[in-house]
Amino acid sequence: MDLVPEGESIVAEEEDRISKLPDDIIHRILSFLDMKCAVQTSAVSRKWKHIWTSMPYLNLNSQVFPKLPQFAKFVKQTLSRRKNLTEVSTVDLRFTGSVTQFFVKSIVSYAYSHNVRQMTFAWLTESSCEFPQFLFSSHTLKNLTIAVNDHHFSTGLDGMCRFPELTWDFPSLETLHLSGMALGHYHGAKSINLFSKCVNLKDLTLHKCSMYGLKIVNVCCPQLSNLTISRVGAYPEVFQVVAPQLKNLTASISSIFPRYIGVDFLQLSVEGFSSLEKVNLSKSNDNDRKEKNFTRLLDLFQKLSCAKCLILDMDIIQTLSSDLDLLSRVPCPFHNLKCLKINTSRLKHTDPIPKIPTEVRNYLLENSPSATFIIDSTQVSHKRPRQQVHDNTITKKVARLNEKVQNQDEVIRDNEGKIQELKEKLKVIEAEKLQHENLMSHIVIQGKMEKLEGQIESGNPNYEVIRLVGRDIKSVIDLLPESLKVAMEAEFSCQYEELKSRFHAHVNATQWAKIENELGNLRDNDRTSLNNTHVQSDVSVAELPRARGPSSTNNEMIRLREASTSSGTILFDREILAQVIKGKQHGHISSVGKKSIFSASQARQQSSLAELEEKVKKQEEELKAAKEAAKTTQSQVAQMMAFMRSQPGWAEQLARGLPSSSRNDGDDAGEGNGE
Amino acid sequence: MSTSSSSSKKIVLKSADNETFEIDEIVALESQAIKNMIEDECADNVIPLGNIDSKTLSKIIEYCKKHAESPKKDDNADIDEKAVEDLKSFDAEFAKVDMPLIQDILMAANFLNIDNLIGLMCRTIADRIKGKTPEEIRKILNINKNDLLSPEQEAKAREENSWAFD
Repeated sequence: MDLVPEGESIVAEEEDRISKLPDDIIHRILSFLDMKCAVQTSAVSRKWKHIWTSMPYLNLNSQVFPKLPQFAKFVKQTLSRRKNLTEVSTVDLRFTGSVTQFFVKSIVSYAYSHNVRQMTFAWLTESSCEFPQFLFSSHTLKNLTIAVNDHHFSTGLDGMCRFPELTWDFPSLETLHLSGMALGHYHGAKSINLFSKCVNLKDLTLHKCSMYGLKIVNVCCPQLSNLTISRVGAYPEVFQVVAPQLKNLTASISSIFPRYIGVDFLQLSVEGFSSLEKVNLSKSNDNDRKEKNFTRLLDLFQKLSCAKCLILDMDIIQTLSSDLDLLSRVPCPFHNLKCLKINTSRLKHTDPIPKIPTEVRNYLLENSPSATFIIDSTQVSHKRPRQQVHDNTITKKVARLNEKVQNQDEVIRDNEGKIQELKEKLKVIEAEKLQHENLMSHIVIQGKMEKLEGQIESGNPNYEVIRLVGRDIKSVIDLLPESLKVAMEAEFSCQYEELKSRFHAHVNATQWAKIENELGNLRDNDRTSLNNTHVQSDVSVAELPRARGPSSTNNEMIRLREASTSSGTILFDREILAQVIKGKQHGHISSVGKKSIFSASQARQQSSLAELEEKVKKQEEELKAAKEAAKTTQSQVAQMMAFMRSQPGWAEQLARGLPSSSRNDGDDAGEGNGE
Repeated sequence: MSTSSSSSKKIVLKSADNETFEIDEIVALESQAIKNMIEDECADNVIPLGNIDSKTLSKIIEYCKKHAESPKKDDNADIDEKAVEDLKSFDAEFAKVDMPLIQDILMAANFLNIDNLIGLMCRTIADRIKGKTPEEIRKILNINKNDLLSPEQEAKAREENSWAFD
């Protein structure tokens, strides 16, 4: 029998394998089928002919039938033809129409009388009414789900089905799941205690339930271990839980209809919550009553102080963040936290990873510094492909960031290169500038020398004029940078000596002495420094551009002076030079008309210098910004990496998803960031 | 929870075609039958499985390994959910085999008493016969021709259960 049958002949001789299986296995196969389909297998073979009649599973769905009467007939036949002694372990009833239809009662009665342990009662209805009382008493039922209109949700008032005013009699019930109904009469303003006889109830879920108009909803269950209250239409004034065994509490703390109907926030009153381990709180809506909810939330926290693991969603974090100042001053009630988790599953995966204010974190972990803190941005999606998309998104994001870092690095390298280049250019320009200053002082000094020459040539020098000339020359030389000063002084000395030798006969020795006296300090300095610096000065002067010889500069200077006087402004030569050397009016003497008196090339060079300086400055700023951006990106990557590392499965995914080079870059970036 | 292959105890399973499979004890414990044998100390080093061929057995071991390694109910419900998702997709992939192998696995799982695997195989078979006519179901399940109802019997069965054949 271990050999797989190859052909029909072999099969024909043997009994088929599936028919060899015990009935309970075949029942289990049929349990996944609707009852109508299960009954139809009676025509498959002899073995299968009666197998459905002993099935412990009843899956009855009125929507399989075109009309309700056909379904009613089917139910009647099924129940009557079943082997009567067979227990029914599981009933799954889904139906439309009125809850008072006969088949509803017959199915429930049959199930309850055949020791049903698990029942799902799913009802699609548009009318609002009260559940029949027969539904609420079974001594064998362990697991009950009552769901109304699973696919749509009414406002919580009209169209909502209510429970009768009686205490439920389910002594064996362990799991109860209620969905889409009103827990009581909304006009009653009463207190209800539906589950007090459910002494073995361990799991209670109230999903999409309205407790509108109720004063107190009591849940007093000695065995209750898990309580879930989700997507509440309206809360009662007080939700009172007495559950000494309660371990897990999951609750949405505000109603899905803010300020629309009734109480919109969970007002919990608790007793015996000392076994509490995990508390998972979320908000069903992002309503705007943050301030009010802030206080309510802190009140709620007080009642859950035993929790070991606390899970909060981002809306709750936002509520807590609405008054950080107060939050940092109030004591934290949680004294036993082992784990604090921020659930971000409601955020879209395109949303950025949320930031939790430090104050919130400090508040929550005040008494539990060693607790694990997790921001869970992994969406536990119910569709695997979506999760993969999410993974890919993260992988892509990291890859993108790595690429960005790489690009930034390139930009930085680029900019550094450019800056170096510009610095070189700047050096050249500085040298040129120096030459210009040199040239300018030449021009001025030439002019002065001409003046001096004129005075000496006349044979009757005006010593006052000579004194002024001496003073002007001195002040011109004083304005020069140190490197040019010596050279210029040497130049002046040479010219003076030349002048002296040329016009030696024009004035007598006394006059010469007087002249030199008027020239004063300048001559004295020259005499002392002349011999020492002459060689050096020659070198400096040799560097000057030869294009503008002394004669041409002389002419220029004369023209300048004429222009100066004709424009009505008497411009001292040293003022011209002062302006020139300050570098502000290079190539343009302000009072001498609109046109530049210097050559166009000078002007160009000067303006290009300014431009370059501007450029360097700009580049440096850009570099700084680029470095900043790179740093941010690096820290983003580091953050992402850290996050990825905390997600073991994703790390592999990431490793697979990234080319090795970009991963290295990411590491580099991380190291760079640490520096 | 996780299996450290070096230190943990090994169990050897021997298939009908005399192939041996050495597995961690924790993987073998997925089978309630083997678990009982080990607990009753009536398991030798090698457990012979004379009615399971090596193809089926290796498939069953694949399943048990995955389910043994998967984290069980834990404080951290989130890990649970992820593990459940992971296991679900594993199961879906696992069940993508032909009907003879499914039936072999189901029989072997029934023999070894691996409840999850029985459930998975039953669901898989149910999915394949859902909405099919009796003729189609016979073909899918390779029902023994000797076991078929005679045309008259079948007609009678349909007549009796006509309320289900509308």
